[in-house]
Amino acid sequence: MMRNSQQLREVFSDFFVRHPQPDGRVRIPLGTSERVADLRGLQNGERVLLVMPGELQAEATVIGEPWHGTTYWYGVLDSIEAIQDITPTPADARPAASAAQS
Amino acid sequence: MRTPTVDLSQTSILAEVIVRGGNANQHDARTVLQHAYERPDELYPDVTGLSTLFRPQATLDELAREGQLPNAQLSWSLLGDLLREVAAVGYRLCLYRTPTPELQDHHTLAILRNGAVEPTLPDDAADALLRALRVIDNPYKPPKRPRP
Repeated sequence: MMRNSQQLREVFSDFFVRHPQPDGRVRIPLGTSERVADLRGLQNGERVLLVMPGELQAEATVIGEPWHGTTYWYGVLDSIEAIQDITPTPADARPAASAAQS
Repeated sequence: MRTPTVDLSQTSILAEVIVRGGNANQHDARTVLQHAYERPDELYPDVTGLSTLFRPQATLDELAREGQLPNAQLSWSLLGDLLREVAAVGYRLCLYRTPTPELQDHHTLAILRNGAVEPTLPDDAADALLRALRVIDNPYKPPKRPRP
C-alpha cells in the first residue's frame, strides 16, 4: 500500500550537512537516540519524513551505524531532489483566504 | 583530540559573516534552532551546536554559494552582532572548526555559560541569536518542486 508523507513518523533535520553517495542517494546525519528524543525507537530501514519545520521536508529511509558505543542514525534520500521546499507562499495562502471570504 | 575552535578575539567581528540555512523570522525558527543544536555531530563527537558556514574574510555571497543549501531563505549575521546579542543575556560564543567532506567552511556555533558549552540551547540564547540574524532569499537554492 502506498503511504503518503502525512502517515510517516517525523524526524527533525536542518538539511545543512548532506553527503551525496556515488549512486545518487544522499545521506543526512541525524544523531543518536540518547541525545535526540525523536530518534528513539527507530528501526533500521524504517521510512520517515525528515522535517525542518516551516522550511523543508523529505522522505527518507533510516539506517543506523555503530558510533562510539552507540548507534548513529542517518536518513537516506533517494536523491537530492527528494528535498521539498515547504515554505508557505502567497499561492498557499490563497485558498484559505478565498474560503474565508465565501 | 579536541576539536579546534576559532579564536574570536582575533577576528574582525565587524566584518566577519556567519550563514545558516533557513528563515530566522519564521514562526518555528526558535524550535528549529533548538532541535538543530542538540544533534551530535557524526564527525566531531565532542562538539555540540549549530551548523554554520564561516571563513575569515569570506563574503556572504561566497558562503551562500559554497553551502548550496536547499532552503528558500538564508539567515546571516555579522559575528559582532551575534556576540553582542548573546552577551546581553549572559552568554558567550564558541565557534568550532568542523569541516565536512562537502563543506570545507562548516563550523559549529555553540553557546557558553560560565565557560561551559550549553548541552541544549536555552530559550533566551536562541532568541538572542534570532535577533542578530538577518534573512535574505537564497539565490543558490534549487528551483522549488511542487508538493505531491
